[in-house]
Amino acid sequence: MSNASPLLLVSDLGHRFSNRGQEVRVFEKCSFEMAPTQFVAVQGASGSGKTTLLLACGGMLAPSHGEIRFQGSNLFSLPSSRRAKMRAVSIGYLFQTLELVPYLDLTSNVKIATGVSDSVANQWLGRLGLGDRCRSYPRELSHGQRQRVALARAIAHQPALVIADEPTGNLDNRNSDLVFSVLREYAQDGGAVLMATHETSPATFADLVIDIENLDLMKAKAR
Amino acid sequence: MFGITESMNPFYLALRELRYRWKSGLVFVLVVASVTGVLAYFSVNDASFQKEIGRNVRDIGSNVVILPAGVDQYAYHLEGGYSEITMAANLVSQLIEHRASLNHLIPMLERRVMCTAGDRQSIGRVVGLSASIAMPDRPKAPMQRSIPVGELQLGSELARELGVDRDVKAEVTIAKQVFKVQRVNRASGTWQDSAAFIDLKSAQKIFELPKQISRIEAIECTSEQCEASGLQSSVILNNEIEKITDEASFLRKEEMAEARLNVRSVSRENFLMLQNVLWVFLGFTVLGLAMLNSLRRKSEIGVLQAVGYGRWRVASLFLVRSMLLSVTGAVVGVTVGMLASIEQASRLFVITGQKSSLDWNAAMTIGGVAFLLAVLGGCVPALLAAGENPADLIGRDS
Repeated sequence: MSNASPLLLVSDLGHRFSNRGQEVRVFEKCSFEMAPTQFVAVQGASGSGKTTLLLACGGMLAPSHGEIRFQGSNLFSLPSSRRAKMRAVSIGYLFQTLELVPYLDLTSNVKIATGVSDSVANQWLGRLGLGDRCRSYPRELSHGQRQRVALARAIAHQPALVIADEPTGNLDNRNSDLVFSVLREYAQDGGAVLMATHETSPATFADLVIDIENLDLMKAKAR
Repeated sequence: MFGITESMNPFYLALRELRYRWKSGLVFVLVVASVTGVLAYFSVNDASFQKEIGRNVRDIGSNVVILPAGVDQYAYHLEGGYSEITMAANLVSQLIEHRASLNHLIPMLERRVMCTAGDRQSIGRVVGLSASIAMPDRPKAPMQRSIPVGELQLGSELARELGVDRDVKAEVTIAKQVFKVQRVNRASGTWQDSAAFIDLKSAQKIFELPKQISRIEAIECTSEQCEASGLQSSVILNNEIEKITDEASFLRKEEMAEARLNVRSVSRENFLMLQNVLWVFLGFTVLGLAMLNSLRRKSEIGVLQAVGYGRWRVASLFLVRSMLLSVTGAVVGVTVGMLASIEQASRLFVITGQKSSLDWNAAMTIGGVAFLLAVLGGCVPALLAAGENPADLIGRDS
């Protein structure tokens, strides 16, 4: 782990919700910290709570208990407008469900992230192999191409933290390698990456692996 | 690594969204245009209708008669609406000066006298009258035109008694004064069929009653005061005349006056009801369309929040969208509605229809209310959607 001051500090985080009167525990007592330049992987099967943890770390889902400090501020003690501003400037989010704005071309989809100019958007698209598709619309792209646009949007404004939710989930090997390499490069260049994955050996590319299922198992044993 | 600029403006995003979802935008515009079009159409139509009704009812005749205070109304009616008592003619200028709630004032002086045409003679009711006088702030086309000095209009029955044929030039002598017959009136089924009409000044001269009149006929204009005060028309008129003079009293031709008021108020109330129904329809329809739009865009709202758009900034996209669509719809609707109504009015109402024109006040009011309703209706669902947790919105296009 890096000796630099933590960019993200997660302490004793847990989330539960109620489903038809039954309380469902998603995860409990999750604690870790991330320094700038770190690549952290969250590992676990589908439904184990990886997305929930990532949404909480991005300030989009308030956890049931615990604390998340980002750049020294307790995320969920901030008003929602401050959290929104923090997301705009310091966090890039790459969704599992490939959320692009359907009525904007690729350049504008990347530009929608705060403070990104046309030239910056086009450079990132070019770097991700979409330089000749800048004026295309999301519906004209393949799944892998859309994932690359979403990645460009997540990192074009150079956030301190990129949160990626299974970014290679439905990609072929070529696209998957490209996304991994860009994220790794981003972390090496000074940005932190928190990524959910179902890969079996995330330790091969991550500085830290959080096995969200093992946390649950440990708690079960403790009970 | 690369340069930084300001984020995208809501007008650009709203226009791009409208270009992409042009069908839903078109439905929105059509709804606003239909409602504002119908309202603009009926607004101009109602004004034309009021003018036409006004013209028709005016031609029925006066509904108020101002008589000298000394007239015994029992005897007056017994004589078929006739009395020899007179009053000062300057009451007309007093009524005008005090802006009485009357219009089309026609002062009259009348006597039953012998009329002679050639070798035939008969008693006729000779009425001297002036052209109708409009109140200065209520200009109207004259209800009664002046009769040239030295000429006379004959009632159909009196003409028959005197043997004056409609198509033959003739002269009639009244109190040694010779009048050329200007025309023989068609039968009206009233006392006017046995009357002869000459100009007021000539009548005052031959009856030797200078500056005197027998009565003033007029049309009441009390509807606005009735609405404002809740008083009946007759009370308002009575109060006004009492303030001006104690030498006159008035008769109100109740049924004619009520008919005039009713025709106008029915038309106005129908328009108000239509207006209210259409505003409610517009409000709910726009709300529904905006709700549908925000439901379809839940995922997009989530993405925008995830990349740092705050609640109000997300809502501003929907607000701008509603503004653009409602302005377009209102401009199209009001323009088409008014032009169609003017075209219809000029076709149906031959005389008053020519005066129909664009009503800018109505256009601004209708356009303004439609704009406000559309913006409010469009904003509520956007604010609700923008208030949801982004995590709940991602991946949730309806």
